[in-house]
Amino acid sequence: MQALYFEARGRLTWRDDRAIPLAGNDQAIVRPIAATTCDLDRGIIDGLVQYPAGFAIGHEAVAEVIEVGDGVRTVVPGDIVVVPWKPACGSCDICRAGLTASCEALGFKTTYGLPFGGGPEGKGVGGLFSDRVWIPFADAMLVQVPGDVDPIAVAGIGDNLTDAYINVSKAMTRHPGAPALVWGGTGKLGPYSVDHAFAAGAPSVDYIDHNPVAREIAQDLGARVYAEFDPAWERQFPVVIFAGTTPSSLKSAFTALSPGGHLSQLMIFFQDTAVPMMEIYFRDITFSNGRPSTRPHIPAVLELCRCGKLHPEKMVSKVIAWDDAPEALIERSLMPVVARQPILSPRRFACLPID
Amino acid sequence: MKALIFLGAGKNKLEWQEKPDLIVQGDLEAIVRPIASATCDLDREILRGHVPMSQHPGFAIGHECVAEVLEVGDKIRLHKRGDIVVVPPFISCGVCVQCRAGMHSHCTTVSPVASERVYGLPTGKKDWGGLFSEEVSVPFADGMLVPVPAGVDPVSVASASDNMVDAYITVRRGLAKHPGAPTLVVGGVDSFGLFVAEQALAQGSARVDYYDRDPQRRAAARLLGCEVLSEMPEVDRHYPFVVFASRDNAELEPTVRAMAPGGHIQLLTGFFGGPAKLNLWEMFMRDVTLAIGIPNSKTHIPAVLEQVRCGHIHPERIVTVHDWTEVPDALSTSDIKPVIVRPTIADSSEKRSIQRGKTDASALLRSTRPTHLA
Repeated sequence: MQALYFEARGRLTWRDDRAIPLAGNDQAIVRPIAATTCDLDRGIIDGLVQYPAGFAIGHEAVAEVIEVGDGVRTVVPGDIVVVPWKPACGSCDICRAGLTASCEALGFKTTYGLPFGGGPEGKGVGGLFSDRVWIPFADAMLVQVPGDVDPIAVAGIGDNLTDAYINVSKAMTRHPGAPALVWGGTGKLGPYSVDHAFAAGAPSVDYIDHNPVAREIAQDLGARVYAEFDPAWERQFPVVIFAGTTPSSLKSAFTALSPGGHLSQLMIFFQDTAVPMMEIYFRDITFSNGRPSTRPHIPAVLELCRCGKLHPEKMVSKVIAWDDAPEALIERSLMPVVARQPILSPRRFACLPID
Repeated sequence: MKALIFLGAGKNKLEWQEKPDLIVQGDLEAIVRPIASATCDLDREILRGHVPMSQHPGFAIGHECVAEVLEVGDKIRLHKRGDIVVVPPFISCGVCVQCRAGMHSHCTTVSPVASERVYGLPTGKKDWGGLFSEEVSVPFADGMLVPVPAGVDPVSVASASDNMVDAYITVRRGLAKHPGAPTLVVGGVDSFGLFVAEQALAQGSARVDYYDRDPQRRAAARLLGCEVLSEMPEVDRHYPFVVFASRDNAELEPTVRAMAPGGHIQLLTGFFGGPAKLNLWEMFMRDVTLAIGIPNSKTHIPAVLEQVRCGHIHPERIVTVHDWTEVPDALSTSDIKPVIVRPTIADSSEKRSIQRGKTDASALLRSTRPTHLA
């Protein structure tokens, strides 16, 4: 089977790869039909994140079920499903606490599309820009995509779209009805967070992003937009959602909190990072930072999409025919979705050639 | 009246200075006489010269005390001469949007900046007095003071203003998210870690592991019922709730590593002053929530007093009592929690002349707005 490999900064190739075979009753094999780049993938491709090259990339996709084990109850071949970024068993104490991101069944760090090893042979579980993807716990992991939700629009729901939901919820449940500040920069996490903040009841959203494409989407969603944070800005917010890219902007985001406020941090900082301790101490704040346990929340986010409360289709910057992925994904783009028609399901993408 | 003034870190760091007696100047004000004053852990660091406040001498120190009410303004309904009350560290009006939301420490009436309206610290602006002094003005007595119930020894709750209530809030937040969870306390400051450890046991933590490099505090923690660790635990993903009450930045990384996925960490800003770093990668891998901040004392002091009254916590096991005449020396001992006492006078025949000033604090209340609507 073909799998998309990250070879070097700015270089992706198709490689012939051995598929992990179905080897258990609760497993499934799926075929991604709408896959996109996580904001982290953009950083990897652009060389901003230093991972050892030569791994199958991709951990955000909607897929078609191809094969299921005898014990699988909730999906059958031909179903269109979300694949969460993290293989998680759904039955250990950690999963039952809703913390699927930390499931240790296949290794604490094991992730689709990142070079963290784990899986049946210790070589990882492959990426989601692949022809066949091994799902070790099909019932616990896969979520059906309703017929009236466009798989291309929700291609990012296995990670970024739901990550933004979780982080906005953490802040907005503490401060219902509060105005929100969203700080973008990583890519689509910022616009996703704006969308979620309005859906969660924020009366207003202020949005900072140096990227004009993301600003335009945020403005279209109803946010007031700014290219830069103005340090002289005295407004303070009970809810701050941070998906900026630099430690200095994180510092500024802390200073934008009002007393008792909550800062949800979506950016991944690999190093120890300075924060303005005295300022946040005198403000009495809470701060959350973590790999998102998306699986338990995906049904809620799908329902928000189905009801029109969310507008994930606005973030899709282009749709790419599957075979064109290696070249097309190198170009900087907010949310390029690589798509192909299903082979068992009767559903068809109108924007792609129909066989 | 005598005020205890901080003169700078060094040999003669504290001095009793004679100041004019205080008079009630507004309808909402009270004058109180501290009868049991404690050092906040921050005060100890100020005296040791470890924190930026040490570089701004000349202020009356102290922001933890139980006091006796001497005089009250005409509109005070809740307190009268002779009452025994806890004085919160932050000036708060009690009626603005923030105060009514229980966020008294973020009251906007005097100043939205908490560090500008606190007792016993260099504010850079008005000096509100210190809570070791003989007399202190409470500008909004009904909005600030909390009565000490009968049966509660003022000495045992001298620290209810700040460190004790801070510990209560810290544990309440953590165990509300993780009821009954085992707790790790990383001690390092004088008393806060021990107060937290006792609170965690009182609020239902299955076990409390207490780490501290200081043998005196480890011994105290053992008496409180903790499992005591003399080495930083080298565990990965173990504790759902951890409290970092150390001033040693290097101890933060192993503390974060010890957190279970989804865990909650409270940071005492043990790093008073300098910028500190967070181990964001380790936090990210564990999906954690961090809380840091000054306590909303006024809101939660009654709960702490009730814990003491019911015998759920025993702060008297941690405090050491000294007469006020033993100050300044008593504040330089190695006591975990020195409490300075002076006798009450309100029931004696001593008369105080009452003069009325012109300032009316109620005028300030009319301009109150929450900060995020400004």
